Amino acid sequence: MKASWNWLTDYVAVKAPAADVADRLTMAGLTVEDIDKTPEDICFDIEITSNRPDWLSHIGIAREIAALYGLALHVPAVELPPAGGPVADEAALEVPDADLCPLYTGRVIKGVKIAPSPAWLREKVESIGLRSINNVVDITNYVMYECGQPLHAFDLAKLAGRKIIVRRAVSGEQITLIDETKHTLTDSDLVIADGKMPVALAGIMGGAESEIGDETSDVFVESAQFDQYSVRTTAKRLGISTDASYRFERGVDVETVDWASRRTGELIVEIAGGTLCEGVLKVGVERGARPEVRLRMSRVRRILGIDVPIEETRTILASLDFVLRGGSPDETVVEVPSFRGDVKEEIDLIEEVARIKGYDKIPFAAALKVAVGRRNPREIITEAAEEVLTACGFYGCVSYSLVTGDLFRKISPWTREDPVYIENRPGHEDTFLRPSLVGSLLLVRKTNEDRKVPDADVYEVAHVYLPSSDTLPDQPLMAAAVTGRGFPAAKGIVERLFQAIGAEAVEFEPCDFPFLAPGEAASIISGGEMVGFIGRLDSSIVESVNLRTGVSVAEINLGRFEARPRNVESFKTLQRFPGVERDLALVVRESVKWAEIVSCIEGAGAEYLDSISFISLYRGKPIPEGSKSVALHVVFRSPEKTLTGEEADRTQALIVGILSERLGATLR
Amino acid sequence: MGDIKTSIEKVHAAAVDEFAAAGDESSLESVRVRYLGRKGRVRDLMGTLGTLSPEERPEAGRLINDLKSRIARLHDEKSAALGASAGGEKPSPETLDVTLPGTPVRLGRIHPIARAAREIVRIFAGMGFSAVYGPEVETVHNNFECLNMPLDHPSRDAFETFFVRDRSDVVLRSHTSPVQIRAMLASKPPLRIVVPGRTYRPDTVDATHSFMFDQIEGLAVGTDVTMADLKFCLNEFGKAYFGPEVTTRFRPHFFPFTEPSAEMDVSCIFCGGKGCRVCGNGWIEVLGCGMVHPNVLRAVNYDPEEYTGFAFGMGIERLSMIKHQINDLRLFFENDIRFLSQF
Repeated sequence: MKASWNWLTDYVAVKAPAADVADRLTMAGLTVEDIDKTPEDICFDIEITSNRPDWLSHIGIAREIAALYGLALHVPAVELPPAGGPVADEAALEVPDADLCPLYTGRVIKGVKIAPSPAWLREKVESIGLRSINNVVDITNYVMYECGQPLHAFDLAKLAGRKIIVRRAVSGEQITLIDETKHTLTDSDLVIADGKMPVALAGIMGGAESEIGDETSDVFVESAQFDQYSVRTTAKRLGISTDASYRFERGVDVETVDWASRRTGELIVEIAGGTLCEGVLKVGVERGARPEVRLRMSRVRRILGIDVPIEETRTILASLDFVLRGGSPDETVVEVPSFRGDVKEEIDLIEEVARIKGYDKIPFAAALKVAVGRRNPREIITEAAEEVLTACGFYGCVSYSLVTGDLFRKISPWTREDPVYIENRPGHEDTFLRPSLVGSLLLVRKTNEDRKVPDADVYEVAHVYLPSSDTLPDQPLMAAAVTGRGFPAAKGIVERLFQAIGAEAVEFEPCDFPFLAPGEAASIISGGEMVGFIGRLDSSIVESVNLRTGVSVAEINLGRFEARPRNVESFKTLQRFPGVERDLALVVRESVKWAEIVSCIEGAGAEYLDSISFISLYRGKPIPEGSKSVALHVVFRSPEKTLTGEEADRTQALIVGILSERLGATLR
Repeated sequence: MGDIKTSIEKVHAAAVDEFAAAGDESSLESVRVRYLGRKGRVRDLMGTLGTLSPEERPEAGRLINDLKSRIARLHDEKSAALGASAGGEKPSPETLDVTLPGTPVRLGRIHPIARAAREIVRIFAGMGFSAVYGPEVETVHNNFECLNMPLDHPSRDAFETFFVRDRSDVVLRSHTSPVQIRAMLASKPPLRIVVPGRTYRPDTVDATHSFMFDQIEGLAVGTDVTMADLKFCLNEFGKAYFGPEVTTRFRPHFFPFTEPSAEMDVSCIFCGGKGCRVCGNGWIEVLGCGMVHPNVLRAVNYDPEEYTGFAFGMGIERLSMIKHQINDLRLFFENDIRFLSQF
């Protein structure tokens, strides 16, 4: 809302400098975002919050200045010029759809002379950035910016049957507006029609057909209240926003409708000549809701944390045109003025008191009881995962949850169903919520490659979205990573991550997701459920993303481990006695997996077994075809003594025996 | 046992001589193989263990292992000495340029949004707020209706929303405030929470807009929570996040879910509040806040006569942009390592 300093001072005799007033307004909730000074005037650009349509006018802002500075507000008294013949002889009004138009008024001025505006009027409308059109149109704009009530002037001679009908449009009816745009209407749009057709979109814009022109002689002035939801719906659907629709959407003051009509009539006769017809065409109720609201001093203190003297609260409310209706030493009852539709209950009055008194009068003073901020399991688990990943050289990413395209449909390990699609992204009809983070990370790696940052190791912790039969989709928290490192290196990081989040008994099983390279892919199982996957990205996807090198990818359902109490590490006694270390080279069939060898050794019941680790894998001579040699390192140890060579030998013999029996392994 | 001890010491003495005699890398290597190789003298000693009684074996084994490391040390020392005299690995004080960069260490970083969120959560944890989380795909009921935002009200204009296809009751949350509702429904006052998370609004992407951004929401409800508490906590937050020298101011504003509502500005961290190119008038807007609207308390069956509360919300990217002078919101979502490695 643009407001002119000169114009404001028509209603309030403020002596303070404009910069001071701008500050006070800002600190009262009318944020002055810009001050534009010209030699003649100062223009404020003020951000008006959507709850205060009464501030969309110079009188409304002047009322605030008056309250802040303890000054009087002067609203001009309207003196209607001597009237001509009765208005009913000149025009007729019908309002069949009164549900969308609680009040409609029409006045007629005959014999006006359309001409450029006089200098004072032109300066007024130009001071707030409007274009001067002609005297009658400028007057309607002037009065709207004066009091907040939008007005419209029709050329009465162009209204078929000299008739105004406020009705819903007939579906398919068309209208060409003043700005030359043509629109097709539906039966939920409210229009102003003449005897034949729509001549204005109610509360939004007038039609071109009945526009005031140079030859206009008789003017019909509309001042009305339209249903705010109806205006908003039509304006949004047609993509039109005007000064009028902006005000009607937020709600105009029904008690200002007649004042604005009379004010317009007075000014038209004064400036454009002609004769005002006697009376007004009117359908509807002119008296607004004026609820009584009680303000208890105890509540002021409960909310604001300070005591405000009751006299001060009464002065503040009266300065804002609330009418004192009684009270007691502890409370005040006020009647809310009709232009304050936002004030419905006590809390609204408390805000008014705080606003005018100044939020800066409330101290920075905590009376809050001591409380402990507790760490959420999600914070703990996420930070543990991120600690491992960043230590391994990975960068954390944040990429869009809303995605498009086949890449994201192909990488969908967690569901076979279609992704969750999203409406209202014009130009992106294919938008859906990603079912995996991996696709995004591949694109991040690609972006970095394109910018000469090769081999970016990246991760993201975020939700994915999976279709569900519940009201809301499943939204598990995932951690995903993409790296140029090979499968074993990637797996080592993933294993360390699981350890960090306290996940036990996690198993890797071969799997065949189509986006992972055959034979280099594993699903990660815990509690009989897939909690993650890891693998080399299939070459077809490496190519489609146009990555320079192959990558390993992994994704883990982090949220799955959040509900578990995190592993609290229990101390394990440091071994004081030396272990006996043995390297074993086992020849086994190709199909025998490392996990089987380990579980076989662990299940052998060897008393002194301390640890098993992998050394290497060998295929080729002299190992027969179809077999492989697995080198492993075992440590035997006793917590009570140094083992003898014989004890170690016996343990080793036990293990080798079982390996031979269960897996057909032989020692090389 | 005595025999083997003697043998060990003999081997060691011989090794000392031979390593001392080695004059270059290749003779050093052959000495190493002679003692430490697969068929070396240490290995030979190991082979004699079998001749000992079981009681003697562990001790003898330990002595042989000991010998092995003593010989390895002889080798390393000689190797280093040879390298130094050849002007190799061990530089003399004159040739080491200490200003040369150290060997790079490859460490990753968490994302600046995650870093800022952690920092903010920790500041509020110090004032008794615990982090809670809620779903990003949310019901219209929680996202709007419980927050005193009736359908088709202009107050929803600032909260344009993505809808899930074919569902008029499910949206991508346009703010983190619905988690307030979930938290209040899940427990009784007193309550002090902060809610970090992603939010979505159908904005066109540019330097200051994004259809996805991160917020942190806060809520304190109790029998005695006032606007003075709100001002204290948020003023402390401003100083903790931006620096102890900043001051704050609270301007009245409008949010449907709080009343009285305010926006908090901090004194400009670049010019100290004098006014500059960044701030204009000396103040930078950082968050919205207010006392919880009675209708919101009613929506979760809290009696507004018994309980009061304050709430606040802030954009994480915005705070991070101010603090680090980042000039383009899109940088957060491009994930260029050159950007990510700066924070």
